Amino acid sequence: MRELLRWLFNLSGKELDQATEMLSKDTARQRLKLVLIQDRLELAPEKLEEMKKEIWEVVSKYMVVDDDFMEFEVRRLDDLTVLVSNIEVKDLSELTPAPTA
Amino acid sequence: MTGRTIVITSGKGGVGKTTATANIGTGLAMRGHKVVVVDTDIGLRNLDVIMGLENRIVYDLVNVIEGTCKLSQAMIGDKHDYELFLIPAAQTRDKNSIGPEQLREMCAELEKEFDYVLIDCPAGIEQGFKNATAAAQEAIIVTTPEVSAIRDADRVIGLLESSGLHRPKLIINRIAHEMVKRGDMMDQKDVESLLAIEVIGLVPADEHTVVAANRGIPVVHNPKSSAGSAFLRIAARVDGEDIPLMDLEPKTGLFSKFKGMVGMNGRAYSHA
Repeated sequence: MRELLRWLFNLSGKELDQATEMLSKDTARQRLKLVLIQDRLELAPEKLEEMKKEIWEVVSKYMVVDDDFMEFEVRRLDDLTVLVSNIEVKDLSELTPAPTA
Repeated sequence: MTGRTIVITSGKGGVGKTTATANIGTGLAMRGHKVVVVDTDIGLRNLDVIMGLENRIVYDLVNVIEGTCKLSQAMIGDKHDYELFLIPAAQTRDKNSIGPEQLREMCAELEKEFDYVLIDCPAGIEQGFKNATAAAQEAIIVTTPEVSAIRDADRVIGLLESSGLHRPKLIINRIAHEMVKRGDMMDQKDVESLLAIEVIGLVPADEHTVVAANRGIPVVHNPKSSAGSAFLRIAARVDGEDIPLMDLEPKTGLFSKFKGMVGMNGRAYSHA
């Protein structure tokens, strides 16, 4: 992909790095997203990781899910605080994994 | 008459609570309302200097609460021709010299006489914050598009919700359009999606605000300035008028529009 981009734009390596570097506001937004989850849940970062892992384990018992793609968001819905999680299902044909799983 | 008591708060200090209070208060008064602004930042009062009333203070908030003066004696009339009054905070007293119930009682008294009671809340989430928020039925949160201010605003939203002050409104202050354009500052959408509350106002970073503070004349008195017109808009929206948020894009000529189009094409290719 990098090579393709480089070929398309005929850019030097340095220029490409600058072109693909994340906007600082996007870095800010992503960092805040995580910090706000921890603040809202009053959960330490390692506890959050632990919860993520456990939820992943539970879900992967029933379907084939991506190892990496898992998003958490703590959202406010009027007076409620809700935890929303997005997990990528990898293979829909294998909704019930092999018994060994 | 039953007025509305609105607290202006932020969590983080220095994001523009006092400036917002002075300007929304003045803006509402300019719209013909009877307004009183209350500085609850005991020990670190500033609403008086922002409004240019520092030389007229005789009695303060703590005097009223303690009963050393009448409520009307602590109210300082604004220099301009509006029905706008200030109750200053005490400067040499402790934050704990008043309590939430006492402030609520005082505001209930003020609501009988005024359309709007605006409370300038101290920074932080300690006693001063608890006092100020207990006295209000509505809240406006001021933030800037920076990580620290947004994080603190989020904490405050949570605290307000749990104390029964639902659906606070948000002002995003000191937006630097050029930085937003080049992706170095979060925009309205970014902040809105993080905090998930309704935005009631956008205020551009504007040198006029500093000049206004220097002179002790709130920037709404200069409606031609971008910050002044932003605060007038906010006052109108607080007052229930359904007008759009400020458009932060400066007026552009044909040439820069053309440049913008070329720039957009460039970006579209880079996604390929």
